[in-house]
Amino acid sequence: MDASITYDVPHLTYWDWRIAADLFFGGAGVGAFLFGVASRWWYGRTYRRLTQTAAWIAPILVLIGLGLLMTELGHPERFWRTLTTIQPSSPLWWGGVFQTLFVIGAGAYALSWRSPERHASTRRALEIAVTPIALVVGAYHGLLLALLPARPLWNTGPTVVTAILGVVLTGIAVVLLAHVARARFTGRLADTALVAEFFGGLRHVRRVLGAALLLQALTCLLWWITLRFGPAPTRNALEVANESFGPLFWFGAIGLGLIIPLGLGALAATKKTLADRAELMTVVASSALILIGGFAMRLATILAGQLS
Amino acid sequence: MSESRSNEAATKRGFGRRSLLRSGAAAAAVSAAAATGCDSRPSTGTGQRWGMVIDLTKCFGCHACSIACKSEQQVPLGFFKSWVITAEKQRPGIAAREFIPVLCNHCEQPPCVAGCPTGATWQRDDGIVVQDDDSCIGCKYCVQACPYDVKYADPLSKTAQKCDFCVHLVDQGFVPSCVNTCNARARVFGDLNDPQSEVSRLITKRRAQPLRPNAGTEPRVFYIGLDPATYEAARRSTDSVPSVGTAGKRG
Repeated sequence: MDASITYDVPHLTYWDWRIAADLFFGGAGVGAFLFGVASRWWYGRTYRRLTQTAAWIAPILVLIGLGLLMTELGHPERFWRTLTTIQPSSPLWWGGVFQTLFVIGAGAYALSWRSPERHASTRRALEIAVTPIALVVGAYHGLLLALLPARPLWNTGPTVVTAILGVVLTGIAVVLLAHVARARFTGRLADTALVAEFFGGLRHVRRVLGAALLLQALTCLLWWITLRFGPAPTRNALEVANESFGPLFWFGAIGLGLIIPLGLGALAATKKTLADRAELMTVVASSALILIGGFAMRLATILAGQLS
Repeated sequence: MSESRSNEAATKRGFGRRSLLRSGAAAAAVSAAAATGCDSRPSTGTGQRWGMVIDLTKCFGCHACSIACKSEQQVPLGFFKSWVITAEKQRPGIAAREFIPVLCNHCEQPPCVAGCPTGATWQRDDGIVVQDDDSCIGCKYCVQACPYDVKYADPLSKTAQKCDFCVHLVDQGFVPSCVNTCNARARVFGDLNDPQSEVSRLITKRRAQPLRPNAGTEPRVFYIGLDPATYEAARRSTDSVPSVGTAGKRG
């Protein structure tokens, strides 16, 4: 006999767009730092300017995210209590502590890039110290949600993987956009030869970006399968999420953030005759779309998960 | 006069003289600790484990418990620490109405306590999960962590809030306000560690069961005559409820 509920109290969704924005900016900042460090480790001086750009924007982005989080807290003036309490069972405690450590470490790293020819050993030490912290913060963005059994939409393995790949994707995208903007303002995109030289230096990055996009698309598919064919609570969660936030997720996160950038990348790879400037534009457009899609993914996840 | 009436009511609801004496001792210990300022989170040291049994075969949906709770706890308009879910079931020739009073389950493994980044939500050694408003940063993670959706963010104090079994009354040897008010005497409060207490006997004899036993939280509020499907239906939908803020349909 089916039950029809005739009275219950309202259940509110308390986390709004600011939590999604905190995860988005924080993730992009951490991703930017990791991308910058990885570029320097693997390609040395080839990507020095790019690493410098990444180092400068990483702590700023995380601070923007933390600022938005503060506006969402009921008592932001008490945030310090997170740092003076030891609560290892709370993902939020880990996030608070490690994001604070990251901002301090990444800030020092950014300052060390004021004069690229100096402080090389300090930079190396900071890279070694801050990279594990950045990895913890990146994982925290997924674990924060995945460790909540009360919310079936979040409580899955792919939630963590999607969050980590989102950190990588938005980190690369934001660094590429900033790098291109910096090159443009410093006159390094003034003529065709300069563009060709600039673009030639980005070929490795495009491959990494393409691989990350493919992996993210695969993980999203796995996430959908986990929910669609999981137990009743996850199936219900997916149904409700689709009903309320389906367009945001499918068109915003998947369409704009994954499918179109993948298509643009494939187009650029197959059209050998594409001019360097046009190819550069595809990188810029893809990066912008990845950022839009990355925010849409987090917003849809945060809002829909609370209904589950 | 009023004290003896409360004590009588307490005794009837499985809150026996022995429990009362223990609670009195605990209250004295708490007061002494508070007076000396030696510990802001004192041990009750009584060995009790408070719990509740709600007999759904007796509940007739008067909502007196909800009102008593709002009054005792000064819960703001639009928010509830204890309320009654109402469900209708129909099949040809038969229509039935069910009531499920809900409140914080004071879980043995409370996810709200584990998730709190500052320790503002914590569990006393008598099992009652309480909220320290002065430590709460208002992150609402505990609200998300609760599988029973019994926590809310208070718009006035800007902290998370929930039922605390009327701990201020329990520490003085009384029962929670909802228990005292229940017209049908459907609610019984007592010590789960005492096999002779009314709650322990009801759980054993009447096969009382908690909500969502598979959630791994080990709730300490038990129901007699519960149809789990009715509760799950309530968790799936709030279509019939007028929205406040961003209320939504649940999955």
